[in-house]
Amino acid sequence: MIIRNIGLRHGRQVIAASASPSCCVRALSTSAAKSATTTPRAPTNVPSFFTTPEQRARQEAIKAEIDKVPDNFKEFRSIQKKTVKMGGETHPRHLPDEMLKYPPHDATLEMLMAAQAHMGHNTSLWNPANQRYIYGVREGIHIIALETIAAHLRRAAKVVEEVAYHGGLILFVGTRKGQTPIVVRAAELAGGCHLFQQWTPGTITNRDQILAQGKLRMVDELDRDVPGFDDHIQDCRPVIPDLVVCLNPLENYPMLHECGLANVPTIGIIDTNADPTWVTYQIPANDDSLRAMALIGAVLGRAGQRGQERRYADAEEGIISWETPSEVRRFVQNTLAAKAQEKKDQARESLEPDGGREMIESDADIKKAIKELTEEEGL
Amino acid sequence: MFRPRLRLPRAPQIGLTAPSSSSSSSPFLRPLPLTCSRGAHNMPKLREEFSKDGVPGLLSKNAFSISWHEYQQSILNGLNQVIDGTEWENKDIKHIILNSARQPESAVLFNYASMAHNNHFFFEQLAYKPVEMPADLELVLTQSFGSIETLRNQMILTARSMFGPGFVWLVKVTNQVGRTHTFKVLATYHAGSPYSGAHWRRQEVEIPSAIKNGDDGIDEGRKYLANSAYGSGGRKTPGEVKKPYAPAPGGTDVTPLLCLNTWEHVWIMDYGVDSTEGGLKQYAQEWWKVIDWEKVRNHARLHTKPMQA
Repeated sequence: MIIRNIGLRHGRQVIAASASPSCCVRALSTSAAKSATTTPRAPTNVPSFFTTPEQRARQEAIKAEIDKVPDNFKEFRSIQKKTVKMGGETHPRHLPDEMLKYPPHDATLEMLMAAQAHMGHNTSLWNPANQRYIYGVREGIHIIALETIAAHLRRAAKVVEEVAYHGGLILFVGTRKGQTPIVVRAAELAGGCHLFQQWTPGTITNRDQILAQGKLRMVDELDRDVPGFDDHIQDCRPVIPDLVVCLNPLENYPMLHECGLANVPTIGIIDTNADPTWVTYQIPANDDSLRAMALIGAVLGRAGQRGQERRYADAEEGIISWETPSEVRRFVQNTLAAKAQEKKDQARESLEPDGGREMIESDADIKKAIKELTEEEGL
Repeated sequence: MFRPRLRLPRAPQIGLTAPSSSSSSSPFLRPLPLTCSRGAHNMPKLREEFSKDGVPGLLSKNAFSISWHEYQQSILNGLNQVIDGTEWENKDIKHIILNSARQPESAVLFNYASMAHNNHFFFEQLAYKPVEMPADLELVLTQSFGSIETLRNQMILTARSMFGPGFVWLVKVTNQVGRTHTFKVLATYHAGSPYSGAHWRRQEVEIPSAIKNGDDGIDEGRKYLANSAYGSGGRKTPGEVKKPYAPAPGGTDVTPLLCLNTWEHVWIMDYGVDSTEGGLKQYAQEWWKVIDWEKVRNHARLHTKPMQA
């Protein structure tokens, strides 16, 4: 809602009245007659032995007022429900929050157009490498073909879904103003990570310094924590994402460059003035429209969600879609070797036959080894 | 700063067609074209049987279709035209009422919104088949009025004593001091609103009738404005003892439960214009029999705690 200065529109009398939401709230409440107890200002958190009886009484009064709020609000809501729409009903066609609350699984051409995803930049600002995505020119701007947007979006969704299915870590990046909730919601759906502030250069190439503080978890096929790997978690290198989805590649070149150096595939929204070679999978669309970004973020988030669900479903049946990383495998091997060596030494001392060295050949062996380790240590 | 509004040429209003030639389901008046119809208010839906049979015992099919279908659509058309392209688009009707009541410049907006609200309120509380008054509602109304017969008489007499169109309301008033509910009858002229948040435009009295001539009249007028400026709270004027009154939070101290539409177009076709024998008197008497008391009880919210200040 665009709040205009009502004073200027309607005349001298209300020129002082500002069109702020507070005046609308005032009109709804009976502010004419003030309540007997004026709301005292909330005192700062002071330990009880410093407070005077008056301060304590004020604190209690505040608490009593706050306690009434849920019941009052519930009552108010039910009264409003009966009366607010009496007379006529409006049917607002677009609510920005709907895309976050009810993210769609697929975007139709109509939805993309309604989200203004087809509007490119002025024709003089284009990158000619994008000409394959452009449908034509209108009103001095390039128009991105809707079918192209849909096709590329579906391809990217497939990539996100499969990466999620194979247990990959997906990072959703959107550093522009207003992209925070979009990126957070998409990451929440896909079980991945989000970034809405500036990418620190070196987060991948210099990760040993920059990501040293980050916490790591060792999980099994159903994402349950696996005990016994604290040593490995302390020593191993920070992880990097397996896929990066970027809503504004134009502002994130260092990140995309690092992803390229580290062989991390990237998906990016390519406007008519962006460079399509910066990302692995392009989604040609209008990156200046928050509604379009919300739609694309929702579709990709849902794709990630589907991939995760499929992964869990298969894991419950014993089909594991990913392999243990080589460093984890190596850690397990070395730990078991060390244990075996210990046993051997103990056996030699007590004149018992040696235990022998076990070879780790498959994930089933790892599971058996973990079970043995945890049983031995009494975990 | 000022955004130029695209003004479409007004389409010719579709006039009243003969009732027999049109079907009951199609509205006589079509909504007018607007620059942006997304924020437009649409006709609310009432019981289907009313469109076919009118309100049995109160209004014929013809009278109902004119006073509901055509009139409500015309009011909503007016409202939509006024809010088209402004910040009032997409706002609920009650929100428009409460926020435009104070500004004389928004009088047109208030009138349309309040009229749409009041007209719908009236038709919403009508029953297709007679409904008996529930016992708990009867109890609280008897406490406030002495008897149901008294309440009925008071509402009918108030309607008859109003010279000019308006509404007669049964409202629940919540007083925070004793946390009590009382019920009272309230009259609003023209498109006056009973809500306390819109007290500027309650229009309880016809000012020309209420104010005397001469200097006394000027004082009375000032007092009236002063009272309305401070709302239903009641401000202490010199020499007057202030009544203890603390309004409920959220403007819920006045809850309308029921209303009678005394605008002439509603009753004139079926009851005639004679005010002594037929006319408004008979219309009000018949109206009492078709009130849906279950809905009134729903609005009254008798068994929930009142909001506490």
